[in-house]
Order: sequence, then structure tokens, then C-alpha cells
Amino acid sequence: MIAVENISAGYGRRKVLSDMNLLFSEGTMTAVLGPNGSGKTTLVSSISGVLNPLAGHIKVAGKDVRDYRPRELAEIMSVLPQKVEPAFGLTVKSMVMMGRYAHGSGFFGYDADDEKICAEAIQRVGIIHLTDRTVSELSGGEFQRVLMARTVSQQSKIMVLDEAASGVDVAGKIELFDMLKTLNKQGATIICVIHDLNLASLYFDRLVFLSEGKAVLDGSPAEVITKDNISNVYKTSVSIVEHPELGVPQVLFSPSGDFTM
Amino acid sequence: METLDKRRVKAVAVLLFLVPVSIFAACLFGAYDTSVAQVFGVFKSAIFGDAESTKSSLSFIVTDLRLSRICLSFLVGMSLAVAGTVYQGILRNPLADPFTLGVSSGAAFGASLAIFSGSTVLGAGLWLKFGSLFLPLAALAGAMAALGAVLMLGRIGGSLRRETMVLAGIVVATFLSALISLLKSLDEDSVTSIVFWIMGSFQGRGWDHVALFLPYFILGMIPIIYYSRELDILSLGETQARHLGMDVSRVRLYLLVGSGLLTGAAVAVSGIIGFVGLIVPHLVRMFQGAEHRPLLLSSSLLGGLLLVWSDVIARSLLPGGEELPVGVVTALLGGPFFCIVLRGGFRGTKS
Repeated sequence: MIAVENISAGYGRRKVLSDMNLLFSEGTMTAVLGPNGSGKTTLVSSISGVLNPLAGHIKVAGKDVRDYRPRELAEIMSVLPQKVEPAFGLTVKSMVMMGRYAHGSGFFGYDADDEKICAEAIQRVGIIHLTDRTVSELSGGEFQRVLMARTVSQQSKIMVLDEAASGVDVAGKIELFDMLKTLNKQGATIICVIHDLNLASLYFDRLVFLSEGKAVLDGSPAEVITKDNISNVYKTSVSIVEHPELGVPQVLFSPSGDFTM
Repeated sequence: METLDKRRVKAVAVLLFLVPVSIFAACLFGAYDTSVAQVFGVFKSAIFGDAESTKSSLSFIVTDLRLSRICLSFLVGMSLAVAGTVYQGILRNPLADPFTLGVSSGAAFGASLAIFSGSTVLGAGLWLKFGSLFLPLAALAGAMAALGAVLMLGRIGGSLRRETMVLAGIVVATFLSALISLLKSLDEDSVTSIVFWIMGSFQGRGWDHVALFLPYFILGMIPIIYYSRELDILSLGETQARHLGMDVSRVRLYLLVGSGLLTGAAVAVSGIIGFVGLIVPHLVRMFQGAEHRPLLLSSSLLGGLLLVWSDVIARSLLPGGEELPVGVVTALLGGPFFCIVLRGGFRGTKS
């Protein structure tokens, strides 16, 4: 369980989040949405302990996230970061193996179990054909899958994902979110920043919308995805329809000008 | 296509074969003509403990003048290549080299101060006391002081960040360069010695220098070998390293101190020898990939070999026993060679 308690956070003098309170219960799957600059990544960085908040606490399993030793925290929480630029051409396999670092036993590194877990993660994410390639020759979407495999190989109870599937093609996104849903059903607590409202509505139990550093909407897709809500948060006009098979709300956008000939 | 693992094994096998061959072959070059049979004889009698012949002048030339110098250049080459690999990994910058963080400027300042002080009473006394080791000791002290200053400056404002570290290195290096220029302008007699020392050379180095160098070599290598796997993760940046469960500040500090010791000691015994620490990790990465454990192993061997042969060229190219600074040789060889390799490498990735 993760508790965000009165968090204010930012960079230098610029405050991005102000006095935010959120609770993520064990075994839930929550999407964090909102326009650019609304504080999604700042929230994720605070939760993962890499950004020190200006005020307030993040508690993971009852303990302040900053009181964890790095290895301890990585055993229970895995993070898929946004916008990663690999400096050197490590192989896909090396990248995925890094997920086992927190579980490793020091100098002699990874054992046969780690190898097996990584092989499974690689298979699960569907990148077996890339195993021996170097990450510098991968496309953005392929690289994103590598990061996902690394996150899976970490086998932590909590997964924090900042734009898990950015750059991945449509079918790939479905594959990845299917997998996340399965992990969630097996007990993982998932917090995922996502831009695609419709995917969020299809897969997540709870949607939290941020706007200007505050959580402005919080609830199930059916509760929060309404014409007024979405139009207000994104400052653009939308229509809401019902998914023909699943019944969840889906959002349709319209151009703001009239471009018909 | 052969796998990277196979390439790594192949590279290490070839390099390990070349090390003893090169050390033996490099003993053949020098101001006095020596035949293969003579050098072989000296090695044989040294190994089998033939006391009579180890005292001959031939044996003195081969073991005390040449072999000591070859061993020193091999160790220095290893150190520079390893330190370059570590700095490139930590700073996530393929253009970093062992001198990026100002350690070399510290050593150069220490050495300049020692040369300059030769004209003062105190300095002359120290020269007498420590003999030929005074210069390297002063350089080593300067290198360590510069490393300490960079780490302290880099820490200002909380944790040690990559950007502040590089900036602190530049600040310290610039300041020390100004001090060196000041010393040069105060004492024109010492300018030649200072300039020649800074260019890097193994002229006149012997077992004393190997003995001075070895403890720092071992001490510096320990954290680097121990944390070699962590370098892969660090090369992804601090945030990801923390997400994966690494105590970034601690690991990075040990690695920086380790590579600082290697660089400082290398510069202290041989001056500033450029290009080895920059080029060798690149060449090895192109051939066998970026994973740091195998990269460090192959780089250290290749760096040692490169410097042994650069020194052979430095001491045998000019007629009449004149020597070139080895730093000039590595730069003259390294620059064009690197261009060719880089161009080839880019063509390879495009096709």
C-alpha cells in the first residue's frame, strides 16, 4: 500500500504538486492521467523516492519511502522511467538482467534463477528475437518493451510505470496492458502514467486525473469519464461513447476548427 | 553472426597471447643492438637463477633498463585504459578520459612545483632526500589533492551530480593550469623541464617507479573490479540506478577514487599521456560491446600493449639515442587511427 500524504513537490523554486493526498491500496491498478505539465512525472518520481518532496510524506507499506535502503526499496517496488537514453550499446539481455540487481548477492552477480526469471520476462514481453541485440539499434517501441521486461524481471509487488507503452504500436500496447492486467490479477499493485484515455478506461479500475498539480478527478472509468470532466481537464471538446462490447466509456475527439471541404 | 560472448573470449585470448610476446619483443629495442638470442639468454638465466650472468652488463640493459620500463609502460597503459572506461561509464560520456576530472592537472601542478622548487633551499633539500622519486611523489600528491578538491566541489549543493562533477573538474583544471603558467613565468629555466614532463615520457624510469606505482595500481583496481557490474547500471544514469536498487553515491565514490588513484599514479610516474584512456575503451566497445566487465578486461590488456609499443617507437624512432615524448607518439598514432576506425564503424552501422 502506498500513501501520498500532503505532498508538495517541485524542482528548484517551481512547485509542481501542491498538497496532494492519494492512497493506492494493495492489488489495485491505477492510471494517472492529465495534460502535459500537470505533475504526473513529479508524482511518480516522488513515489519512487528519487525526488525529495518539499513537504509531506510518501509511505510505502507504512514506512517513509526515503527511509528505505535503495536495495530494500527495489525489492518491493519497480519503476519504469520515462524518456531513457542509453549511453552505450548494452545488450537487451544485460538490460533485463539489471532488474535482478536488487536481488543479487554481490560480486558474483546473477545466478541460474536470475537467468530463468529474465528469460521468462523476455518471453512474456515478446522480445525473444531481440535478446542478443544491442539496445542502441532498437526502435523506440522495442526499447520500451525491453524496459518493461526489466521491470517484470524485478518481480516486485509494486510497479510504478511512467508511460509504459509510449512509442509501442497499437497491438503492442494491447499485449503490454494485457500482461499488466495479468500481473495485477496475480497480486501486483500497479500505478501507471498513461496518456491514452481509451486504453486507461479499458484496463484500469481507477483513474486519477491531475491538473495544475492537484488531483482533480478520482474514480472508476464510468464515474470520471464524462463529457464535462474530460473537456474541463484537457480544455478541448470531446464526445463520450460506450464501448460496443465492454460497455466502458470511450472518448472521441473532434478537431476544434471546421476543416470539412 | 558470431555472438558477443565469442568475440569477447577471442579478444581476451589474442590479447593474453600478445602480452608476453610483446614484452619479450619490446626488450629487443633500444640504443644498444641486442639479438633475439641474447635477450632470450638473459630471460632464461634470470628465470633459472643463473647468478653469474645476471650481473653482466647485457643483463643490466635488458632487465634494469628495458624490462623495468616496459613493465611500467604496460601498467600505466592498463591504468589509463581502465580509468578511461570508468570515467566514460560514470559520466555517461564517450568523450570522457582519465583527465576529464582534473586529476592530471593536479599531478602536473605538483610536478611543476617540484621542478620549480629545485632552485630554492627547501626544494633542493627534498630533491636530495628523495632523489629521482621526488618528482613522481610531488605529482602524486598534486593528483590526490586535485581529486579531493573536485569531489568536494562537486558535492556542493547536496549529492554528487554528474554535471557538477564535470564542472568542478573544469574549474580545478583551469585554476591549476593558470598556476602552472605562473610558475613557468616566474622561473624561465624550469620551463623546458616542465613542458617536457607534461608531454609524458618513460625516459629514465626504472624498477623504483614500478615499485612506487604498484601499490596505487592494486589499490585503485580493487573497487573497480568489485563494482564492475555496477558500471553497466550507472551508465544508464543515476535515477535508473536508484530505481534498480543501487546505493549510487557510495558506488560512484568508490569508483571515482579507484580510477583517480590509477590516473594520479600513472601521471605521477610518466607525465600526461593522452589518447590511450580515450581510444582504447572505444575500440574495445566497437569490437565486443559495452558490457563493462569484459570491456574492462580487454581494455586494460589493449591499453597496456598500446603503450608498450608506443614507448618502443618513442625510444627507437630518432637516431643516436634521442627520445620522443611517448605522449606525442600516442597522439600522433591515436588521432588518425581513431578517425579511420570511427569512419569504418559508422559505415558498418549504416549498411
